[in-house]
Amino acid sequence: MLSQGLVAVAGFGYLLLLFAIAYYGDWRRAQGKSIIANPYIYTLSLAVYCTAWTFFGSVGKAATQGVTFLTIYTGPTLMAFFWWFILRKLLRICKENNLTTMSDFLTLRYGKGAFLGALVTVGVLLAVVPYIGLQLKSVSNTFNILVYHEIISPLTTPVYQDTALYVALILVVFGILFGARHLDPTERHEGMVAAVAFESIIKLLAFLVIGILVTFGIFRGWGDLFTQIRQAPGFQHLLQVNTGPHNSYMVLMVHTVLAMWAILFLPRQFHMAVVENTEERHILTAMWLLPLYLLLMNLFVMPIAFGGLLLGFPPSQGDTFVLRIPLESGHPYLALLAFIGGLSASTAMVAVTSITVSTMLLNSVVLPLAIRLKLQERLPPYLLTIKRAGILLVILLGYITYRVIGPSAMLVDMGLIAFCGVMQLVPAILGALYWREATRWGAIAGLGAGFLFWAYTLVFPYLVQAGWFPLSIVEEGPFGLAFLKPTAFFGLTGLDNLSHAFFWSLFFNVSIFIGVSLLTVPDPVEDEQAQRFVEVFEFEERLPRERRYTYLPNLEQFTRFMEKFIGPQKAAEARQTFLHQIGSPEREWSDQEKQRLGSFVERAIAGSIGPAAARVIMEGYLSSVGSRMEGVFDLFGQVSSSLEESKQKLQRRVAELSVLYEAARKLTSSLYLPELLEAVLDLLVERLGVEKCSVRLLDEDGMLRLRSYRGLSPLAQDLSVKPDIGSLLGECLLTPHVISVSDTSLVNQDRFQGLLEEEILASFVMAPITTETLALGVLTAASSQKGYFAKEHVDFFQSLAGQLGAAVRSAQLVAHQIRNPVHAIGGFAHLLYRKLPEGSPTKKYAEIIIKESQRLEQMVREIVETSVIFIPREEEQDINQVIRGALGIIRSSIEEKKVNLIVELGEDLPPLTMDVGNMKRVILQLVANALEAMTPGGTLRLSTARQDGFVEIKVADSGKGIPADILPHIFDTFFSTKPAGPGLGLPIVHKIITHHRGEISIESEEKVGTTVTIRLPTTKPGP
Amino acid sequence: MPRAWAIMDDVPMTKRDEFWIFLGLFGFFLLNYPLLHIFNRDLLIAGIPILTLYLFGVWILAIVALYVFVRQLAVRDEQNQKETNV
Repeated sequence: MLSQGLVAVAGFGYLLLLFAIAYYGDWRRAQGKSIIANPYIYTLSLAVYCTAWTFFGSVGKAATQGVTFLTIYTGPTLMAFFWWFILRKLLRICKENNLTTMSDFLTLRYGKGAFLGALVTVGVLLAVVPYIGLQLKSVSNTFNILVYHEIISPLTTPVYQDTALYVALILVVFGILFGARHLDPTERHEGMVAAVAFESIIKLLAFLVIGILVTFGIFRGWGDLFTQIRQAPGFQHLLQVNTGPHNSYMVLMVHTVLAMWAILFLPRQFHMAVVENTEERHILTAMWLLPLYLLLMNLFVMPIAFGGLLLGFPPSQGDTFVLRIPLESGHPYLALLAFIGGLSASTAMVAVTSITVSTMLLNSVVLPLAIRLKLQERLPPYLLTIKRAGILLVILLGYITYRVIGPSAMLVDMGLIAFCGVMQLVPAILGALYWREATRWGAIAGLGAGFLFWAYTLVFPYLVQAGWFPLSIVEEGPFGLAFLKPTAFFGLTGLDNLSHAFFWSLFFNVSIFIGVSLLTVPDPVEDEQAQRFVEVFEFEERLPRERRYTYLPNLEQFTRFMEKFIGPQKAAEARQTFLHQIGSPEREWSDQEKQRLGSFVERAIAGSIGPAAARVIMEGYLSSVGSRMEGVFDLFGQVSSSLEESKQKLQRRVAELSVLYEAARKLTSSLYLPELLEAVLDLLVERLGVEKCSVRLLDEDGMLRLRSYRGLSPLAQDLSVKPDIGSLLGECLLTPHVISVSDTSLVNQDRFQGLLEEEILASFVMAPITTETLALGVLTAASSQKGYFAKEHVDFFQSLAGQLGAAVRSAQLVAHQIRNPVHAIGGFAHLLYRKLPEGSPTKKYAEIIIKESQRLEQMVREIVETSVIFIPREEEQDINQVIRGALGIIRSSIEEKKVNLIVELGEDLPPLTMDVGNMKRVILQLVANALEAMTPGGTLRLSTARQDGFVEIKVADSGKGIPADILPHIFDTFFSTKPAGPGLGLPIVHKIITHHRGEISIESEEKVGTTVTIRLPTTKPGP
Repeated sequence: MPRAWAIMDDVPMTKRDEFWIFLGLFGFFLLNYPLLHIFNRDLLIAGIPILTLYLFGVWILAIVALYVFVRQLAVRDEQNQKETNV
């Protein structure tokens, strides 16, 4: 016999060691050097599955029912095959949404109402409370056996002398110290995990030591034990199954199924597997290592059980064989080791379970209730206290159950009650993960029915047995209604209680869940969540859907707000995490970042108070800080996200159509190529928000030359490239087909050959400019947003490029058609010029013909070659000289129109840096415009003058003038008061002047005349 | 999350994945009636009841299978990583 003091000291010493480990774990986490972030610790933490029920109860079960206990451990092994699919999905969803309990998981999936969460919490609480009672019973029994050699029944002991009560109180302290020292938004307790992992090692070692002692110390191996028990009278049935209703094949199957799901969904398993998981791939190791652990744990169960029986212990004491055998065979210290092992198993289970259930109570019951009572503003300071009270409540309820129904049930029964209760969550959880049609009402109705039948057919009979209700209810049915008998519902007999309860509860649970889900319609929020849960892996890349608030508090305000719920330290950490995620300082944030902050804060506080409460509190907070909460979504708020997506698509389609329409109109309104290209690119930029776009056309020498661009800075270098099939440009032109690159970082750099560096943004599209038979060039558009050009937009670019192709081709054809006659005219004029005698007036006319035909040739060439406009050849020139040259060209027109020409050119003007060809074109254009506005007899006045810092050029006519309402638009592309004509429009004039850093202005009065004033800056000071 | 894992998610469930799910279901049948009935007899092999041997045998095989599965996933992961680097 061991002294009470020794056992107590050993027990306490062991608990202190656990605290030390837990503190070390927490301290290491604070240092950023987690000791639990490895797959082996993860596996050992999952071994919290093995409780006192395993440690003592398995032997008890083996001693009375044979091998049936094994199913509780083979079930998880079978489930391990599915972990990589189910557990990983669960994990992904919970991490993404910062969910810390099963009730939060279901609440979030089935709409954020509070009722479902409360239902789940109450059900789970009812299920685990007896299970906790079982652990208390085990610790107290083993203590009493070690010290007094007997189990002391709680029925005969006053409460204050009951060991179990003190055990319960110690465990409350244990739970609070491990799990509720502070509030953690992630609900992670690394110290606790470390302690639990340590306990898993201790309980396995302790059990193996006792097993080896019995098998090889007291008996001569497995064979010896099995042979002896087979020969002993009355024990043969233990070697087989299906020898009675308690170990029928049905029972085996039910146990297996229950265990399969218990390993995932018991609150403590969920917490360890999901919430405390540090890395997804740890699941992989646990998949084979945890089954191996369970196998080792069970290796000696039968030997110990049979050994105890062969040593003459009664089967009814099976639960304590692990302790009694070493004690009776003269190994008291091994018995103490077994006690420590059992203590490990119990304390780990009680600590983790009470913490998780307490979190569920806080998140799903207390907070929604507080919000209903409008107390949420006052609650934050008490959150931690409430959580601690929750732990106390859960464990004390366990103690009460132990005193009430404990004595009447074996250890194993209470565990199976919990298994079957948790089993009720399975349909709703699997529905959440895999079935989009599952609805909130389906889940509530199914769960409700499941819990109801579970309580009535499984828990209730125990309460009757404990004397709370008259025995007649079980024997004759309530109110004498035999078909409502809890153990033979609808007259179903022949099953043991567990199988009976399992069948009925799941039968109603599943069928009501499916039936109601199919008959009800999910609300939009729910539908959206359903998609996010079911397709969590597909949603990886997308940002979480943000709600839109019209006003959002700043980071500082949000941090203070978070402090109320998760404490200043955690709030500061969360703030850092967020800043790290965003990667830019607050002053650079746009609305999008602010909204992300809003959601982030909501998720952060959801970790400590649950998503339902977090949502209400966030909304309340936002409206209280003076912001007007603009519903949850915008105008289209109630439309689900998929519809909203198509709305955006629709808008873009409309914009695209309008671009195509306008482009078609403009392309037929002019034959001047530069203008056409500019106009189309303008449309892309203005209507579709394309950031950079350009047109490249094939030259006659086979080079692809950049002709027009938007959003790109003009470069002086040669922008032509030989189209090579290996480059994207070449491929697009030569194959020819549209190429859309949604993410340029995935494309080999070599393929960008020919593109300008600034053109290569996050995504781009290029379309070949073609006619039916010819490839003429490439149209490109780029965006800094990945995936900006979706597949549907490829069609659009194809048709736009097709339109361009037709226009370019017809311009080319016209140019070719004109060029040949012009060549001929020029050639013959030269001939004429040479043949005519010097000084004859006819010779002068021939000279004019030559000059004019040269001008025409130049213009034709420019139809195909546009780059000269935008990449000018700059030289120093006297502006008067340019004007004289221009007048020489157009004088005949002036004379023909019979207007008076007055030229007043200023003296000693400084030379200007300019592109002579373009500047001459400006003068010609302005003069041509003036002539067109005037009637014969009018006056055209051309003047230049030196001003301070610039040279002023005036072209004034006495024409019909320009109406005042048109004047402001006069430089807009494609604005013309005259029917479409060739020649250069004012927009091109404007462009050229701007390019020379000059200014152009127009004054006009109807029926009086128009004056165009150009001011060009002088680069050098005049003489 | 390491990048390679994200890539693995994009791969739809392969035949091999389905094979493991099948093995899990297969194991369930191995450990239940009627297959269990074949081994549910009063017979000792090397002193150990045939039913116990069978149950532990299936269990050990399952653990071995799980270990092989996990190794395969790890190999596939490495391959993915290589492909990403190319």
